Amino acid sequence: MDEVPLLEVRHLDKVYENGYHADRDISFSIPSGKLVGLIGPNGCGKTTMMRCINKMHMPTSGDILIDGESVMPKTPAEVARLVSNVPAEMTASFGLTVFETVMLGRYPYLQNMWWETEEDESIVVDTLKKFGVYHLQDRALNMLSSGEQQRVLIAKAYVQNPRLMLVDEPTSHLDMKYKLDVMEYLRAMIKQDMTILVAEHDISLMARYCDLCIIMKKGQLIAIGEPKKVITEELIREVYEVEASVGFDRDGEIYVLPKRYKGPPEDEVPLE
Amino acid sequence: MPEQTDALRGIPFSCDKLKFVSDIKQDVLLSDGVKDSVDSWTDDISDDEMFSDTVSRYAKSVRVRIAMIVLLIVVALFAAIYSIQSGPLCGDMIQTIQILWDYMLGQADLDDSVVHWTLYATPPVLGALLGGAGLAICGAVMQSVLRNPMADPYTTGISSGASFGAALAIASGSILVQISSLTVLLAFAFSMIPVLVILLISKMTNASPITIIMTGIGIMYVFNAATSIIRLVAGGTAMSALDNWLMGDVQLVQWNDLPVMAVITVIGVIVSMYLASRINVLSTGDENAKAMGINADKLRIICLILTAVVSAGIISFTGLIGFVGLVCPHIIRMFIGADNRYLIPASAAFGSALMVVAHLVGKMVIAPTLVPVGIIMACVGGPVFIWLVIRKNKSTW
Repeated sequence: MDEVPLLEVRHLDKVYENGYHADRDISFSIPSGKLVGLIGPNGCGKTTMMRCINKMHMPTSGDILIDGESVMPKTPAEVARLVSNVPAEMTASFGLTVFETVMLGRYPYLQNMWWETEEDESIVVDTLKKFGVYHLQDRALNMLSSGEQQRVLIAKAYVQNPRLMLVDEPTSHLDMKYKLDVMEYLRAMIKQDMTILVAEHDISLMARYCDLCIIMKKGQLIAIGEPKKVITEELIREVYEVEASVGFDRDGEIYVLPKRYKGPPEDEVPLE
Repeated sequence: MPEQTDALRGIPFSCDKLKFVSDIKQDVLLSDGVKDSVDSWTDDISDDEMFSDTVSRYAKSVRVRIAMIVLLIVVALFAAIYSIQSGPLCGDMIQTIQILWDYMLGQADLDDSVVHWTLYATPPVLGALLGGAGLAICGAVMQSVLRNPMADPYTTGISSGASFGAALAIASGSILVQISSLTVLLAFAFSMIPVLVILLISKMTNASPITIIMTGIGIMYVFNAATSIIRLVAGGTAMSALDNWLMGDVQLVQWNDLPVMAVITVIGVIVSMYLASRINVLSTGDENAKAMGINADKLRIICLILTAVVSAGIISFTGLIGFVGLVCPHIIRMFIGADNRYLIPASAAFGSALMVVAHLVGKMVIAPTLVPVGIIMACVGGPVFIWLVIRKNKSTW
């Protein structure tokens, strides 16, 4: 292997203080410039893993490497310049405008912790334009529609100019149009030498847009690979315990149609 | 389970052999609109009209905000001087400034009656100036840090702790000297109890902002009940002295209280302005703040201690004064936005101006009776505040 993988997770284990074992011995690596989907049932450890990657939580054991360097000895500010984060929920903050919200993404770069420079401003204006929210810049963030808010939050993560962007359930409140819109923007960003790890429940959407899919269940890595190879009816049955048909439409695009919940299989061996 | 994935469990997997479309024009998944927009991503925009437009607009909005802050400071100072010279037997404004200047340099002629009455009228006004600023920044910082529009020294229990301390001091016999140093000391000491409880709880349970507010409200009820018990037991003169304190009035402030108040307020303003950009990030959520490299819990604790010390320090001297801390930041937010770098100084200046004006009105409205500032502010400010909320609520919070 010549190229250093952008993100390498080595034997990541995370046990919370209350004893909940969220991630069990997860290892994988992803190359630079890919859109990577993270799929798994609720509570399977996706969010915990993402939080370990940007050191929001400390892993119980294991190591995270970005560009071949471990993030563990890095300061939070250094990590913030490498990894940005689009949280699943944005707390409404007393009417910060779109411009101010996106400007907050420049925080890890602020020289004197106080004033933004002309360069910061130009990056923000540029990004507002890129994400089609330029005309909204003076509006309060919490007055925008969910789709527009999501774009603004992605723009905010983008101005952080990271190597890796973590996106947690970006399309959960959005209609079809905005779902596609968000995925297209994520896809466009990876062309700018950015790698994106996106956790999402819509498997069809993930299969269509992602270069790679990571499948998790109960804190363990089940599979990683190209969506069309990884996502199968057997896999859906094992991971979600539902019957689903996985098919291809006329354009050869994969889709997943959940059909019925059949309950846990009788012969299931608990993943303890 | 497909075979090729089963083998992958637990071992590092690398996908660098897979080939992907790197030319964006070839990417069938992207619509033309996004492709076009991405094409322009690499364009240099520094001479773009849109860019210069935004930058100049932003610079202008910054100038407007700074101008508003300066204006508010000027209004506060002007109101303060006017308020001092409006007292009985005082000179005009120029003379007042001259007297205060001389006094600061230690050259004032204390036997002159004008000087005497001017200096007599000064401490409450300066107390209003400092107290308004301090309480307003406490409100602004607490609201942003706890992400709750209801947060202020009241809802975090600090005021109630201070009341209890003051009640204890007054009831235990310091009635003779109306506002003795014992009252101040006990008020300050007891206002630290809610802070300690909140800190303890947030250490124990990894408390969310909501938990902190809830804890504060719980503490508030306990202390209010305890204060009522003292009030009942004490009765008589102690009761009226205590009521006086609970109504809250800057008239209680003496010359030798001012240095402490000034130091506390100035430290509060400087530290909170230094932390302002961090508070901005924290106000968008803990997760966000942590992703930006900020230790959210630590910053929140620092801010809570700071606001507790400042508000307790001020309340101890002036008695319970509400409203300023809760309302000033909201009114300022409606006009200059939620960016704490401007919100904090603007709230401080506005709080000062509001308190001084309220004190002035309180002196004049049914003279010679002094109406406490708290009452004036609530009577006039409450309806104004409601009107502002109804008019502007859609774009503020």
